[in-house]
Amino acid sequence: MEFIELKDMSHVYYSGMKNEYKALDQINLSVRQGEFVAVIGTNGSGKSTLAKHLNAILLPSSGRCLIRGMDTREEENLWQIRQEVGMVFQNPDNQIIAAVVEEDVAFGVENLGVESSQIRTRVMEALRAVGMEHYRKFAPHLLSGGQKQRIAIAGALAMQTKCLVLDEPTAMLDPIGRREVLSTVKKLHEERGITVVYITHFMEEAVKADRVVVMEKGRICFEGTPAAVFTQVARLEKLGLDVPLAAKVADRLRRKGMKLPAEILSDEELAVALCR
Amino acid sequence: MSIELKNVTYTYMPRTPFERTALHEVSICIKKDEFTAIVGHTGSGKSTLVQHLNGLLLPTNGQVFVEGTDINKKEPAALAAKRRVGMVFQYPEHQLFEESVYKDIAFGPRNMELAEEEVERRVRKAMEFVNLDYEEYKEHSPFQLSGGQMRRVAIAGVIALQPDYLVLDEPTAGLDPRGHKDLLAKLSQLHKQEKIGIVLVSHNMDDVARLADRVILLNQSRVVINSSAKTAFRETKKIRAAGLDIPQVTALLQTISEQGLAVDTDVFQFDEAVEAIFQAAKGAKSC
Amino acid sequence: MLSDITIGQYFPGASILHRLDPRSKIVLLGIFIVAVFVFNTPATYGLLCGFTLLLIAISKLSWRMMLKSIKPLWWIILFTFLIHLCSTPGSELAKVWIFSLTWEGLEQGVFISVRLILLILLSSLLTFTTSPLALTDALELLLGPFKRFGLPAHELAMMMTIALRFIPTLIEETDKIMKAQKSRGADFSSGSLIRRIKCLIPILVPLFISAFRRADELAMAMEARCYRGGIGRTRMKVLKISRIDYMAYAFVLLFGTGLTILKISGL
Repeated sequence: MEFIELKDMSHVYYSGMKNEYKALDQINLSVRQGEFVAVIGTNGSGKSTLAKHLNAILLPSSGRCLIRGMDTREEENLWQIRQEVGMVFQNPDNQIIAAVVEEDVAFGVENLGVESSQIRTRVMEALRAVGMEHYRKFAPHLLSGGQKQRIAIAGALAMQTKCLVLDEPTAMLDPIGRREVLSTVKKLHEERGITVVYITHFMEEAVKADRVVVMEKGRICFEGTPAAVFTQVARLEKLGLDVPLAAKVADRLRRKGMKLPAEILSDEELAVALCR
Repeated sequence: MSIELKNVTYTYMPRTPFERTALHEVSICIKKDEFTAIVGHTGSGKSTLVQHLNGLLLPTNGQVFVEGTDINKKEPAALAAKRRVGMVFQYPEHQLFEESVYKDIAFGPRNMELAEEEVERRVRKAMEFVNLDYEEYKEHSPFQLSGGQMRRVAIAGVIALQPDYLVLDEPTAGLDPRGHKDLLAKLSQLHKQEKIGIVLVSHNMDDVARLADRVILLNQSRVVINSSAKTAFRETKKIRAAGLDIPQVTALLQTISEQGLAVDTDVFQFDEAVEAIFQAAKGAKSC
Repeated sequence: MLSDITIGQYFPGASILHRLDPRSKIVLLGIFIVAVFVFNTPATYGLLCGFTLLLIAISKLSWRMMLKSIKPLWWIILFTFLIHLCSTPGSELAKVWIFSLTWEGLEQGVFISVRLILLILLSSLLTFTTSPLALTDALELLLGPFKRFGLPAHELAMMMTIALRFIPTLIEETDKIMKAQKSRGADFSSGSLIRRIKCLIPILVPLFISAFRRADELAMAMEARCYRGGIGRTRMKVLKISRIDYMAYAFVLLFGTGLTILKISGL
């Protein structure tokens, strides 16, 4: 059984009203347990809407969304789904509830009704997993954007979530913060086998995934490994998306007549290819 | 024609336990005919520095001159000088408040007490510049627009002041690649066609490489680089010590050069880099 | 000025005051507030002042912070003092302009000012030594018995927690909005009163809209973390009454008895 299965799923906002708007159109997508999937697309492509279906914040207008076989439309599944799928949102401030870091990380665990003595253990473990254990008594407004997002991740980990969905977690961060968040997520994926769905428009982040899904106007355009996707330079540029620099340079060189191997993504790969 | 800072030092909350020097003896000159980029890590003093350019902050020590006028003296000439510097903050769409796009953009010009016909002219021009159709959007509520459109309304609101200088703090933050590219193209247009002195505060060295004539690098409240873009990007050590990275294009060329292909690494723009690699690869028989 | 606001500020520490159960602190604060109004003889005032100073010393908080907490209200205190000084009938002390200052007025003025100061200091002692979450937890538990009468104790406590958490964030945002509007020529410091009130609109509207947006996003984040109200919720920090609390209650009981005796005997 796949961890996430979207079957012919569509989502319409303001259905029946004047400004009715189809944000998702017949989406079919599967994510295996332990997979790291990046979803890219411009603003308006529907990627955020898609993310919100994964923990049943939104329900499909048609089609189905199954999390470990549980249909999101069945109300009795709701809390189980939300415990198994943790979400990190774009705005670091607007997902921190408590005035002290460790209290915020405990929030989700407390909602699950876990026994008091257990909660602290989980909180400490989660903070250690994201490297923020020394900040447990800090007030959130003293933290950097990257640190706040790591707290949000810890909050999900403490709930023993099996899947992290991150909706443009680095859009509001500086380069240092972006690196912090991505390396934390990558580490958790490698060490704990957590399934990751990572929504972004920074291709240097998408490049680290196992699989990249490209969305446009509510549909999945195409998908594949980062190498397969990002070497389709012309197609991505037409969609208004960015491409890793080395891939872009390689593409231009090929058009000038140079012979280069098909899948070049990183600077090193290009350098090696040029020196053959 | 310039904005000049002379020995500017700024200390937050002096004489308290929270005292912090955000700027230390900064002396720089921002020329109207240059596209200046101010770069530095978070906390280096960038935001503090730019808030001195239009008098939002008064230096603890030192002076700020706009076109020769000290803007921190309490005289009408100082006020007029301050008004020549427009400022766009991060996420400028968060400052929108009026009932209609027209009224919000008109806020600035109306504060300048201009005649209503002049206000309308300026609003039209500003909306045209940010590609928002005047007739279609002027009566819209700004809050019914998309995020990208709201940002354009906010920027139009500052452009309508017709400043001589425009300071922008991370104007592309949160935009997708297409929006990012479009906005930077507009800034370049403003500088080249409207002859406005642009000051861009950014983390993104690639943007800076593409657009800036002059680069000012701040590290821990001091200016460590203040030179033409080309000269600035050669200072790899200083840039990395300041917590930033050199343009991706330059890093790529360095990697290629290390691998053995003799390519000119003194290049910071994409097209030139492609050309440099092409020529180098053609010429070399082996690495 | 905005940075002078110490409301909601919490200074972590390990003094006895920090370690008392927050419920005890709230109850005892309530008792003290009543005491400050009931005991109005010079000797009892003196004892209450002395006790407050003793508490501040025990808490190991900085005296500067305590004085700072009085700062925002100093003009109310001064105003109250002057009103009593000028309008209490009695034996005249001096005559200033049309006001007759009396000895009784002086005495009243001083006592009432001292009362206000004590109230501020004691309340500050509570918030400075108790984390916002402990306060709201304590309130939720104290108001718990009223749930059966329809009082949404948990929801109120949650609202307070979130409000306190966002105070520094909203202050920062107000600052940013003010700077942005100033850069567009808005002038907050000159002109008639009406003009200045109108000038607040470019700040309040964006602030409100941003607050609503935050609330919406926060609600989503809370739901995503399985929040469904107070039912079935456990807490990481469980409040427990300990020996220190019993000692504090006993001490206050003795102190109260002493004050009552003093008052009855007319001192």
